[in-house]
Amino acid sequence: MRYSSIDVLRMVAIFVMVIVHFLENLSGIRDWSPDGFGAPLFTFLTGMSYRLWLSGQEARQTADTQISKITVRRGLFLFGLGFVFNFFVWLPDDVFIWDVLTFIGAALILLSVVRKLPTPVMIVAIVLSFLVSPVLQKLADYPAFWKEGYFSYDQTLSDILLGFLVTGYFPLFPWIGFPITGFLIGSIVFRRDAESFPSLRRLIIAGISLLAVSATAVLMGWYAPGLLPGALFKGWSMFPASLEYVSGTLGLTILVFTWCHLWMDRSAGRVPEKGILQVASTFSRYSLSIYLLHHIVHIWPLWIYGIAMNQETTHYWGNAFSYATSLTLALLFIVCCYYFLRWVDRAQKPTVESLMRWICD
Amino acid sequence: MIIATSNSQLPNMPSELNPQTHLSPDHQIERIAFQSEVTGGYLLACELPFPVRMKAVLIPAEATVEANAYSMQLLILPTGDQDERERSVAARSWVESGNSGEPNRCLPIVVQGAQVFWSELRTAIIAPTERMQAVRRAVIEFCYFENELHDVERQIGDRWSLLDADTPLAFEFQESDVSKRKELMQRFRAVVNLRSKLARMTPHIECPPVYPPTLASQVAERLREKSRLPNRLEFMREQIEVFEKVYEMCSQRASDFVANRTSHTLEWVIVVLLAVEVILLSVDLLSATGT
Repeated sequence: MRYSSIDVLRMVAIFVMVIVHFLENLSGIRDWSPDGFGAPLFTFLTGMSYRLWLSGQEARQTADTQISKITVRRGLFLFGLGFVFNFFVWLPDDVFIWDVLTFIGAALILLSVVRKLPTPVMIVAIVLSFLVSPVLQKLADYPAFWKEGYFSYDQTLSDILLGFLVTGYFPLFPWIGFPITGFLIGSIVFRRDAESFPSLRRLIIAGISLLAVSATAVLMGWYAPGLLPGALFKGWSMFPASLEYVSGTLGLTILVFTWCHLWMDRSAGRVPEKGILQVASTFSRYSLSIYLLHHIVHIWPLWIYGIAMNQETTHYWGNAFSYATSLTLALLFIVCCYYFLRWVDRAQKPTVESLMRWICD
Repeated sequence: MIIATSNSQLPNMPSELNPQTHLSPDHQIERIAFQSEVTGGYLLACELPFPVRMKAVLIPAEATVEANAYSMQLLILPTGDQDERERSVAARSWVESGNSGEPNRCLPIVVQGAQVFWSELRTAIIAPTERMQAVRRAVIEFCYFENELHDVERQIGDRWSLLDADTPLAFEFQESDVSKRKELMQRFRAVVNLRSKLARMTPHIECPPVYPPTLASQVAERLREKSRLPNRLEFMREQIEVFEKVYEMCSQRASDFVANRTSHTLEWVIVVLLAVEVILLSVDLLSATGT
């Protein structure tokens, strides 16, 4: 069963991601305000979608070992695809930057273990993953891995492992908290045995509390800098993902999801299926393909043009176009992508998603 | 308390079929209900034996009784000048006509010149005046126990489908079944209540014959025998045993599951904490190696 709320939110995450990447890679703009909200939403929805997929498998009475095998295979597929993607898109020097694909692959493998944990343990794991992150960042000397706002590492085992755990773009800590939270909330909201819709009061309270914690910490950081321990609270920052950022984006994600779920899933017919839901469903079903495609479409031309101009491959990265042109190209990509995906859907053409299912299921 | 006399009309009874017209003028009709305490200004008909702790009370014909509460009508006809056969036919006809106007099953017995016609809602006693009270008491007691046993049979009959649905939980209890614990507890409690009801009735249903026999004791024995009360009691015991066994196992599985889940959760929390510690140590080690 498809839930409109998940499709719409994933579509929003994809739009944010495409626009952010076009602006950053083509124009070098990195301070576009919503850029920190796409990844938390996307990783949160990964956990939630896994919960729904799991419920479907359980309803079909798929054996538990088979579910674990499929999950691990899918995780390894995404993990491997992440390396291939880094190799061909970000070039061989940046294979181990630990982008979102490798993170989602690792998260899926971990979710195959987490799914069997009792709810209180999941909550403990989420809280610990967030709380321990600033300590890990301190231990790993996070700033030493980041030069001019980009992840930079030596090709050594320790740097690669530290990148995966703490210092990469999307390291396990604290990002693993998002898919686990999505999985947990999916278990509560989309319970199969529930005769009526479960109450969302606790979710709303959790979302507001997380937002309040984040806002308080940010404000205290501005107005009373010495009051909070600096090792734990570093202000609003995505790289490294600070406690303020993590709690704020998670709180907002929970609240937005709750609102969408109440407004769309629990009131069938409120949003016309032929309109925005059709668009959302198309983007949602092919999110992995869009992730790969939008990078290829806007990064490869930069590399090819750089080589053609006898420059360094990355010469035009971040300074190819103006803000307006990059934004226009991003929007144009989204429109073209929609019609392309509709054609793919109609013509039943193979995609990365179908390849993953063919290999892993 | 005489509730209806020979002059009163019985409800829902066409006059040409009304057996009351054939009853002798000295008949009495009593409406009897069973209560734990005598309330509402009603008169006590008799007290049921220990440990039932119930009292039979006489209630007016027009009084309403609680839903599902059992009440019966008792026709008392002292033997007299009227033709014995005509009296019996009239009494039987009255019993069979029942409250709803539909003929009920009637169980007739004759002991030492006394006659009893029993059905679920109406019973008629024809007996000498001097023995009437003793026979009446025996009949009221029998009616109470028969009704109680019938109630147990009905409840058990209704519960078989629930038992079928709950039986898998006697073998395996899962997370999704935790929400059913309260229902299982209620069903187990209901079964225990039925068992307790049976246990309290047993001494009065399976009691040995009284010696020296009296008219009342013989009437009671014959009624129990003819209505197969001891056999039915035994069947109910066996059926309740099945219910008890299944629900005991369900209860055991549920308790085990909850206890295991608590310790399981605690173990996992410890594992998570240890994993975090390992990660902290690993990152520390890796960063030292990198340096």
